[in-house]
Amino acid sequence: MKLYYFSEMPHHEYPDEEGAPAIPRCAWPSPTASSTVRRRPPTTSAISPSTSWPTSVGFDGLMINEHHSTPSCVNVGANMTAAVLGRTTTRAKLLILGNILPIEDNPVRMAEQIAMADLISGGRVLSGFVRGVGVETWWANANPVHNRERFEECHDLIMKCWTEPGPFRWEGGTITSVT
Amino acid sequence: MLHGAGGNRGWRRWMERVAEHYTIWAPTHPGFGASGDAEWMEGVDDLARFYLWWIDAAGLGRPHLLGQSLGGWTAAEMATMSPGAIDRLVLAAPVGLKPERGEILDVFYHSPQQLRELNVHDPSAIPEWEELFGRAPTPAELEIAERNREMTARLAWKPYMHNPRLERFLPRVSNPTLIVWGREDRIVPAACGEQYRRLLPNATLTVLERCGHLDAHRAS
Repeated sequence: MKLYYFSEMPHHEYPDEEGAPAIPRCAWPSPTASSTVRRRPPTTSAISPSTSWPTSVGFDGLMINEHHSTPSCVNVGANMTAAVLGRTTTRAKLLILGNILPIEDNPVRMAEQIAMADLISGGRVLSGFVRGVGVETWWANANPVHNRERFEECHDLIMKCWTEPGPFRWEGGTITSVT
Repeated sequence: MLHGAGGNRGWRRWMERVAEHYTIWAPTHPGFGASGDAEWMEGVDDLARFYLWWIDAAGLGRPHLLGQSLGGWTAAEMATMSPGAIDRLVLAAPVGLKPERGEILDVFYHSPQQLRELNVHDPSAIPEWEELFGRAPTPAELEIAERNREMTARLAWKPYMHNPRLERFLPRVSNPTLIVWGREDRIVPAACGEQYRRLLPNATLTVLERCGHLDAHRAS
């Protein structure tokens, strides 16, 4: 068994009354007009890039996730955070769980970014993929009826980028690419 | 009669009156209600192709087409593909064009309850309001509503509720067309009615006062 330290990086300063309609379901884009986010920036101390205490007390690594347009998680770029943690930690595995495939328009670019975070960290990245929830599906204007097929197609394309020689042309159901 | 995104609302009183003079066919779109799945469809143009086949298969000759909202867009697409297959057109508050002013309400962002309110100007002016919406929906009805919503997403998610190419093709549709709109439409801006009228060479636009989106369907 492996133990990972995980924080969703919620916006702690977000008042309950503003967040209540959005947080329980994590399914509704939060309006920005009345948002406290603009007045008080969220703290990222929960997963501060300068903190290495989770490994010093026995965790095997740090888990990072991603959501969009919700105060319940202000980490909007798991690969970006993984790259920073790759430089500020030395031993922790960096578990990305995960990149949201169905909303990704350029899986090749995502394959590059994960690979680069892995290089920066000296090979400590563990890459996970998720299908996402309503809030970021709507936020990304990604058609939810194609969620599963896009997930599978993005996964297959990223795996091919990492494991097979290029260049190659990809003509998928929802994604076309030359890599 | 081609229904809107809310699905086929069944045999309504206004249809009774139209049926005194015409035979009405009011099919439920593929993927809606109890119709079969249509996962192969990727847009309203596919639905339009389907209905052109269907007119042939059902042996309807050259029917008049009446379309409401999403069904109105479908009717307009059918007319651009095969104007000779259709007689006259009645478009009740159709989506399909990008509004020059304002925007089409995002039905995927709003709850069914919100949509019910936004759909009409004055519920008390709709004689069948109680019959249609006067009680809580049954689980089976909720299931169908969810199915209708899913198929609507399949047909009209992106570009949202319109076809940027449609305005190129509408000027070729010379079928006599009546466009009906409610001035107080909060789903599709009434300005779109003017856009349709301008693009269709043989169209008349009637804008009804104190009338919302769903009301215009009935009035058509």
